[in-house]
Amino acid sequence: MAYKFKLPELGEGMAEGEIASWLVKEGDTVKEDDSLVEIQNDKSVEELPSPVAGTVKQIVAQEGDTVEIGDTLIVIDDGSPDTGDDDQPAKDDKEAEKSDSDKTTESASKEEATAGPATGSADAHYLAMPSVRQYARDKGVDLAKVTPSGKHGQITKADVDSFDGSAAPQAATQSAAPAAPASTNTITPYKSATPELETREKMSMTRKAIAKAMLNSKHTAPHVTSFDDVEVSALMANRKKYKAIAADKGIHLTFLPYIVKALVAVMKEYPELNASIDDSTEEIVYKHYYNVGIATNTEHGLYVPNVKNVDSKGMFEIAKEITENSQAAYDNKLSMDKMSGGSITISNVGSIGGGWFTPVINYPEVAILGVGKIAKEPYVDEDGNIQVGNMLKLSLSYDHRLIDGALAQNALNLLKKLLHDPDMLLMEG
Amino acid sequence: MANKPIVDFEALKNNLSNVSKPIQVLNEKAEITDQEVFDSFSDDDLVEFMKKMVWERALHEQTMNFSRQGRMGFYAPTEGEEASEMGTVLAMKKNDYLLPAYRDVPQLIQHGATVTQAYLWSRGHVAGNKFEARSMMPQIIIGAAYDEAAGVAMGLKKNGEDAIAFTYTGDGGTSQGDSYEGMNFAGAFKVPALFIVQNNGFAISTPRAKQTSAPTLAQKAVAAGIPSIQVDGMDILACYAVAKAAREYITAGNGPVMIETLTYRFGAHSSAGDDPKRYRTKAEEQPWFDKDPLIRLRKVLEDKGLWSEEQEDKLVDEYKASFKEAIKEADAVPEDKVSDMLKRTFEIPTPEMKKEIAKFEAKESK
Repeated sequence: MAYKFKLPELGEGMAEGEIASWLVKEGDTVKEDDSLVEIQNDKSVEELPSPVAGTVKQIVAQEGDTVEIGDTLIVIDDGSPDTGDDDQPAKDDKEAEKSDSDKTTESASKEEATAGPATGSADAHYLAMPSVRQYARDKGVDLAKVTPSGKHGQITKADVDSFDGSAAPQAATQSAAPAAPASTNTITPYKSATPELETREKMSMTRKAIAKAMLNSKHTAPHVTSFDDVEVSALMANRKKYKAIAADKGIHLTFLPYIVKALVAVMKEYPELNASIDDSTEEIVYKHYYNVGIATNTEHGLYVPNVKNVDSKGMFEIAKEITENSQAAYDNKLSMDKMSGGSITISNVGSIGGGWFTPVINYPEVAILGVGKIAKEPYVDEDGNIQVGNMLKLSLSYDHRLIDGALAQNALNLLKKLLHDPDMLLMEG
Repeated sequence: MANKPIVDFEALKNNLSNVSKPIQVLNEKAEITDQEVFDSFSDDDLVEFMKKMVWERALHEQTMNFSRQGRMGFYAPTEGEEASEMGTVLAMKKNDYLLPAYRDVPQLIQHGATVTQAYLWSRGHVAGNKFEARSMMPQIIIGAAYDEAAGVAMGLKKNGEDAIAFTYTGDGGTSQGDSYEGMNFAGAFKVPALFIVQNNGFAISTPRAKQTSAPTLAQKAVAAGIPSIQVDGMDILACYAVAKAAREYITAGNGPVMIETLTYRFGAHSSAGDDPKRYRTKAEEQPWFDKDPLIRLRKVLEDKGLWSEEQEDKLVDEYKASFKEAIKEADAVPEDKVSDMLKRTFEIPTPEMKKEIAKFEAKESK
């Protein structure tokens, strides 16, 4: 008895569109070619005309919904005889296939749409990319109230950000609840052909936080990693010499305090390494303190406590604090203070045999030093003789927005100089 | 010796811009700018021109709706190009051979294909390629129809036919090597070919000014030794008159001609989803909308008492009803099968293809 109008392919490669606004409501009489709905895809907004004449029986997809090609948008009673429409069961099957979470999303977005005129009134006509619409929904901002600044009256993400929420407080509170499930809409689920050979477990809070931090760093800072190595026989001798003395004081002296000290000298020479970028003001923030973080791997996740003001601390003191911080991380007793306000981070995989790698910057810092193992390798010394060298592998990742490749290499060169000759460290550190 | 340079290249370059004004009979204010040519048309002629343009506009509007309803395959909008398309095709004879590009479906229908066939072609159905008209199916490869036209015109010449091959491309097509190759061949062999460039301002989103440094596209025929001219592509009387004169010149055994019509695509490049708002401004569009070919001829006809709004509305309704019939006919044609497509590829299928045909036939019979 009814014609189901399904979303046609409106552009090459188009897989889905968003219902920008309905131009008809249930009960309306429509003629053939009357405009029914505005669909937004990534390329443009298109008005879809009705292929049949009749009465609008049901609006299936609501404003703001993302619909796929072939999804029924609207049911129009066009008086055609019931031909045992094979769409009905097909649609039910599809409904049944949807997971519980999908249903929550669906009902949530329906609630949102029917919540009242505050969200998406029927005559709302505005231009915005689907990603911006999604962003606005997540933030609970009604796009109809946002002043566009983009080309041809497009609402940009920045417009949503700068939207004065006080102008429409209801909108914000009303859609706050459904916003969370709605945001899962665009995430592609992991599908497996052999789920029986896999197990699933919920991500822990820490794992989620790590994932988020890594993603944010990689998305924000264009990473470049420079690899190098340095001959550290003298450094090894020095450590060997003082290791016992440290032990007498109950201090475990590793190579890390040396590297921390060397980094202080490097940061003093190259203050760009001890900086952050404030994207909101497009300013470079130079730090006049030296807090060096040590990435610490524990059973319950990765932490980066930093040793504060290392420039005013002695080698033993630094060694002691590194050990304390690491213990606090294992015991899950790190304070937030210990993990914020860092200058630069050291990630050490050498202790477990790692070599070169590409560490991810501990954003908003702008550099991270990856420390690898010390390997015995042929090495040509200053006099041109081949020796068995103790080669320490270094990987310096840096935010290329702020730090140029030459600067990074110069910084690495200084670091190498200091680690090659620990007496220099005494002078510069 | 004086310090005079051996060649003044700058002067040579500036000379390129010394071209004659585009041919025009009716300007955008519907004023007659060439009385002699205007007087060569009877009132019936003028009404017929108007009907053809109204038909093409209605065809565009209805087809666009079909496209938005998911009932079409590829579709290239024609709104704004009615004078350029109808004016030129109406000057041709039925035994002339058309080599259309994808925006030239209205000319193909005018030349003898049915609307149903055009819709089937859009859907990629083989039945859309079979028509009575002397024409190839619309060419999708940009500029390639120019090569086909050169070849077909060679055939017409060899057969001693009193017919020409006529073909279309766009401004973007003239940037393709094919278009020059086709014209060069046609010029070298003096074949009866008419090359039409519908300069609608954009190669999808690339404006005409960014495609070439040539002051006009008509000039591109000069290198092939072909006479060429610019025409106001929003003036159907000028388009018709120039195309007719070109046909007479060609059939007299003088070799090919090239015409550049200055027109404008009012909408998107295609139904594949480009948004013109992204590559041109309202301020750029408006002067062209004001040049709408229907507006100026409508005004002339209304002043003469030959046309009315009611008459036009009635025609539009009739035309649209016929297009709705046409798409129903297209819907009724059984769907093309993969096995049939494979069978059509070679007269004698290869062993691999035989396997594929068998495979698809088994699937299709389920």
